[in-house]
This record gives sequence, C-alpha cells and structure tokens, in this order.
Amino acid sequence: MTVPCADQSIHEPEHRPVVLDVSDLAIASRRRRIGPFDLVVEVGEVVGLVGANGSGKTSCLRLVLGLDPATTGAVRLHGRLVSPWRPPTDVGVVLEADGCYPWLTGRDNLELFAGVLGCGETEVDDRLADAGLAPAADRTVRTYSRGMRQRLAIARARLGDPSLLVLDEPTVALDEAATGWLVDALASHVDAGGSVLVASHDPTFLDALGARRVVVDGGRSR
Amino acid sequence: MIAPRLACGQLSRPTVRAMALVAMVAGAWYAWSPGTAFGLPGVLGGWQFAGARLLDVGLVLLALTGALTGAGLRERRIDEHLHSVGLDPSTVVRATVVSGGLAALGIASAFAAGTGLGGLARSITRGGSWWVDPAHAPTLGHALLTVARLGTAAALVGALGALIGWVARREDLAAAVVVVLGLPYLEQVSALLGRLPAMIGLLAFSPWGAVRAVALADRGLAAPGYDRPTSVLPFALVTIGWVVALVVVALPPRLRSARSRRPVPARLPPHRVGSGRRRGRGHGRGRGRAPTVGLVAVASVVTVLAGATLPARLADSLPWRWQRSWRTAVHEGWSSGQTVDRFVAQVRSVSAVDEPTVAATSSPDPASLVSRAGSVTPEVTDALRRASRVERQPESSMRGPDQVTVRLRFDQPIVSGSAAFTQYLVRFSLVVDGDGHWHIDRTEGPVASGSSAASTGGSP
Repeated sequence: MTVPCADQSIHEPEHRPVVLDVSDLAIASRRRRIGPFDLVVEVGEVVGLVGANGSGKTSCLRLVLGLDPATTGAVRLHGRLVSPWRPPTDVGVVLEADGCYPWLTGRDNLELFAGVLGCGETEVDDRLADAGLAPAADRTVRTYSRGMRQRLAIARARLGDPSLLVLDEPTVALDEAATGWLVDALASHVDAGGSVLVASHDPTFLDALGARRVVVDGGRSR
Repeated sequence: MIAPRLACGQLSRPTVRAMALVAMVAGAWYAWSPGTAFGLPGVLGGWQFAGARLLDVGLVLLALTGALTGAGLRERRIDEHLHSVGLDPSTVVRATVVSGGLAALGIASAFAAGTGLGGLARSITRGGSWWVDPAHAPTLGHALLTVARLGTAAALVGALGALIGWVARREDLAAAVVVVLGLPYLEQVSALLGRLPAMIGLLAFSPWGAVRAVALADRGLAAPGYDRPTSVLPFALVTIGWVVALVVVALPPRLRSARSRRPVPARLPPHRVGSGRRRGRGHGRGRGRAPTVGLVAVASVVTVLAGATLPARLADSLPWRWQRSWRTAVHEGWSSGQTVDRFVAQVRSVSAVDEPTVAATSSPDPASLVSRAGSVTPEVTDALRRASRVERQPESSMRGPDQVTVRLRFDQPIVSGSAAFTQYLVRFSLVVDGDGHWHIDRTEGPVASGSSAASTGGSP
C-alpha cells in the first residue's frame, strides 16, 4: 500500500514511450519449457535480468530477439512484432557466442556488419577506438584475449547507434577497467535516449547502471 | 550485399587458402603430368585438357569450401548476429548459399590457374607452341562455354555444400558429409565403386552426381570406362530437387502469424505440453516442412524407381537402362547384349561349313540376329569360333545400348610379327527395329588387346 504524499507528482510513475513489450512469451514443448515471460522496457531505461544459473535468462533473451521460436506470446519492438521470421531492427546485441570469424581481423569483423547496417569506415574506426581496440584492429581475432573479444562484441553491438542494447553477460572476461568503460558507455547510451536490457550475475555492474531488476526463474519473470 | 563479404571472409580462412593451393597444384599436375601422353601444351591447352577434372579431383575441395561457409556461419553464431541486425532467415540463407557458390568459384579459379600453369610448364619442358599458334587455338566461344559450364557447376557445388553445412550446423559434421558424398568421384575410388553397377546409377542422384551429370552430360564416374553419357534435363531436375529440399530444411518453420496471438495462462496446463493436438494445430517445429519434404521424397522415389511412368518426353531423357523400351527388350530377350550372346553361341556351335547361314541371313527378319547380309565380317566369325573363351561386356559398363564389346581369349597366343596376343576385342554395333528388338548391324575387329611374352603359337 502506498502512502499518499503531499506532492503526488513526485511519486507518480513517469510514463515514457515503450521500446520493448514482451507479453506471455513461452516455449512449451516436450523437451523444453520456458516462460511465460513478461517485460516492458521504456525509453531511457536499463533493465537487468537476474537469476540463478539455468534460470532461463539467456533463453528469454533469445526469445525476445526472435532467435528461437516461441510457442505462445508476442514480442513488440518499437511496436513491431519480432519472431524468427521478423528479425528485430534498431537493436545491438551481445550474445554468449562472440559471432566473429577468428581468422579475420577485428576491423574486418566489424566491417562485415557495418556493411549490413550501412555504417561507414569512420564509424568502425570510432567504435574500435572507443573500445580500446584501435592498436589491435588489424590483428586477427584469434590472437585476441577473451576480454578483447568481448569488447569487440560490444563495439559491434553499438554500430549504427541502436536505440536498444540487449546484452547477455557483457562483463564476462572484462577486467575492472573494461567494466568501468562499459558502464560509462552504457550510461552515455541511456543519456542519449537509448535503452538497455542486460542479463548479468554481477550486482555491482547492475547497481552502477542503476538497472531495474527483473528476477527470472524457469524462464518466468517475477 | 552481404554475400560477397561472407565469401571474401571465407576465402581469407587459412584452411580454405590451403585448399585453394591444393586445387592449384592438382590442376597443374593434371595438366603437366608426365604420365599423360596426350596432354595439351600451353595455358589454354592445360585448361582444355584438365579443366573437366575440376569436377572429380576438385569436387571434394569445392564442396568442402561450400560446407565450411555454411556451417561456419552457424557454428560461430554469426547467423544469429545477422538476424539481430535485421536480416530475416531467407535473406541470411540466400546470402550463405551465394557466398558458398562464390567461395567455390574462388577454388575453381585456383584450379583453373593451376591447369594453365601446368600447360605452360608442359610447353616449356616438352616443347610445343600450341598455345601461341592461332591455327591450333580453340575458338574463343568454345573456351568461354567450357569456362561458363564448369564455373557454374563449381558454384552449384559450393552452394549446395553451403546448404548442407547450414543444415548440419557444425563444421566437422558438414565436412564429413560432403567428403563422403564427394569421394566416389575421385578417380581411384570410382574405379572401385564402378564395379558395382547399381552404385553408378545411385550416385548419379546424389547432390554432386546430379551436378556433374548436368555439367558434363555424363552420369558416370571419373575412372575410365565408367562414363555414362546422359541427358541433362533429368539431372537438372534432381539438382533443383536437392536445392529445394535443403532450403526447406534450412529455413525455420513459419509459425503462427501475429494475428493468431492469443493470451495464455500464467502457467501452461501440463496436459497440453507437447501434446499431439498442439502439434496438429501448427505450433510445433516442422510445421509446413513435412508436407514439402514428403512431396520431394515421393517425387524422388517415383523418378528413381518408376522412371518409366514419366511423360514420354521426360522418360526419353532418362538413362537408357531405365527406359521402358530397354526394359521390355531385356524382358523379351532381345536387348543388344542378349542378341550378341545368342549370336556368339550360335557361331561357336556351328561348323565352318554352316557359317553363311549365320552371317548372311537376309533382312529384315525379326527372328534373325543380324539386320542385313554382311553385317558380320568373316574375320569376326572365324575369331569367335576359334577363341578359347568369349566374354561379353556387362551391361553396366556399356556406353549405350547400341554398342557391345566382346573379349576373345586364346589359351594359345596368336603370333603377329614379333608379338604374341592372347586377347582380342570385337565390337558389335546394333540397331533396334520397330518391335524394340536389337539386331547386329556392323562389327569392328578383332583388335589385339592383351599381349603375351611368348612368341609361339598360331595365328587367327
């Protein structure tokens, strides 16, 4: 029960435009059962999915992105339905797998996606420099450390300035300095009107982002 | 365009570069090989001589490149990242297929360059200026046609390999599948497999077999003696069938449309989880895929096993051994092989005095074995009668229904000059009459086939 305050306007929830609307998203098959999962992410909001190992955080993110087919429910991104046949747009993602060709350089890997997004070489260079990868940009990814690969994945997610970033355990393999860089980068993204949906085990990281936490258990949101 | 970028990415891969190098060396070797007596010298000569080998010795390399392109994309989850930047599955699959074809074209180019270098090396080491002599040069149109045909086939192999890789999801699995499918077309392996006649027919319906048949108009194997000239159309259909089947499997099932969205309870009722009713309503994986796959499978079985039921024009373009007219001839005992068998038996059973009754039968007579008088030369009749054993070429190794070769073995070598021969070949050319019965029309030989070190014995 909320206690009425003198100045109601301070405590009334601020309704911002919704970026991501997930409702009743579920997989119900003989082998797998996830959800139902409900979530709303508003503009300028950071939402953190938390939960124990195997609680279904990654599965939920994959459903949200339309990477796995859901049996029921719907995902709307900017009001547009997302499914395996309707890929999301205006989203940057960092998934479990880095999604890079190890025999290509960091720059080549970014340019592969920059070509799809219509970004120029300048932006690729900017993102590499921003991630601290400029000196290693022309080295093959196979020679990168795990943390460097993660930074490359984050740099790729930010190509094209998407309004929503979906990150799955982005701080894995990042050292303290790189985590600080990521927090700053995400904060500037939010300040610019972007939103973030992040699954993480790192409470410090989520606190630093000021994330609204959504507990996931068995693929269900609580 | 994402496909060229993916193809370039694949061609930058050390494994693929190594395969390109192998392809180049193989091409150079086959064009230059000192064991090849009739190789053509010169850059263009090397390509003309060894280019067609791209689809036997180069086949595995082409297919592997395609398979790694398709499977690598999925194994590294690059497909998921492409999805996340807004590319729908059909676009990603299309880009993968095109990139597989382009990457395979890269390997084909390496092979072609190798054949050119091999031909050049041949002209340098063995002399010959065929490559600079305009009088002997092939026409540009012919050369371009060969390049286009083999290039298209290479791209098709790469594209199919990419689809197989996409479906396999894993590089090791995809590589294993395409190598197993491609190995039969290596010359050494095909020489073994070709001993099983059914295998030759079966392999022609594999993905690479169909592409080879389309490109080379030959549904046989690479080893000498196992070529089977064929019509292109049926195998073009088989190739299309493979592409369609793989694309259907590669794409995710189209689930319910957004309009059918309905609210679900907070917890799904346990009795409905995975029930057949749910699948029947189209919510399970594979909805929409099964009927198509089933149709393709049925069409394949009908084509393979019941080719004679096809419309006349299509049936005519089936391999000759599968055509209804041939089956009928075999059933009635009047196939070309059976006719030759009876003729040989008849010749060897009669004495020399009765010979004219066999060789000079008047025609046309449906009951006779020869189509006209003089079809069989006296030399052939004589050699057949005197041979110790006569072996007729098996049907599986016949180039067509109208040519049958017979091997005559002599226990006592036949001396000719300083050489002595134990084997002779006789070729029978046959024609078919209105009833579908085959008759001997002409003979060639006997030609010495196997020699013996001993120079004693008689002459035929």
